Amino acid sequence: MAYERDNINGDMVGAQEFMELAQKFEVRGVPRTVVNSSKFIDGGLPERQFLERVLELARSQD
Amino acid sequence: MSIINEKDRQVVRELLQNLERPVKLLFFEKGEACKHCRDIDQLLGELVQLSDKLQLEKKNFDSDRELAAKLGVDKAPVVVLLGEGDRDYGIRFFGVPAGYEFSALLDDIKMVSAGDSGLAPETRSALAELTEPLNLQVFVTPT
Repeated sequence: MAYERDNINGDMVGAQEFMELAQKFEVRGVPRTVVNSSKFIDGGLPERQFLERVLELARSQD
Repeated sequence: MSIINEKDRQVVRELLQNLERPVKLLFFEKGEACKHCRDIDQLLGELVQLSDKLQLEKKNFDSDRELAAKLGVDKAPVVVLLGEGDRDYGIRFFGVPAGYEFSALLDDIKMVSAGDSGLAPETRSALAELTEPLNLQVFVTPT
């Protein structure tokens, strides 16, 4: 997704190397995808479902 | 001693044999206190030897702050994947790209080199409608 669009960043973050950040985002299981530093998607999803969740979370207001 | 064993080297070499365009691995290390930097440095060094399309460039997170800031890199160690002409696609690997992450790194290298995300057409068009910045941080552990 990051590759497709300039406005999208994709960061892989090693939870063990960045424990404080993992704690901040309450990472207990992996993969946990943190969307805009505020919302979460847990587990690995098929492309279509992942896209739907991402768009839903990206568009929802805090 | 090498990190990537001979058997894996062969597999990786084959995986990367059809790379089209050059890909740069920009590695920001973090000085003495960095537990994993030496391992990552060695791993990347071994990886770039497996394809002449790969290039490794090393930077220091503390002394190359300007570049880090420009790339939106706020922590290290990190590997930033850059395409031809140092084109930044917003793809970063924070921490040690080992185990499953190593496969993800190889996949992303191939994607950047080929110039194709491999995503479905519907995914591409849906993403194109999203105009706001989107940051995805995928937390992982090596398995």
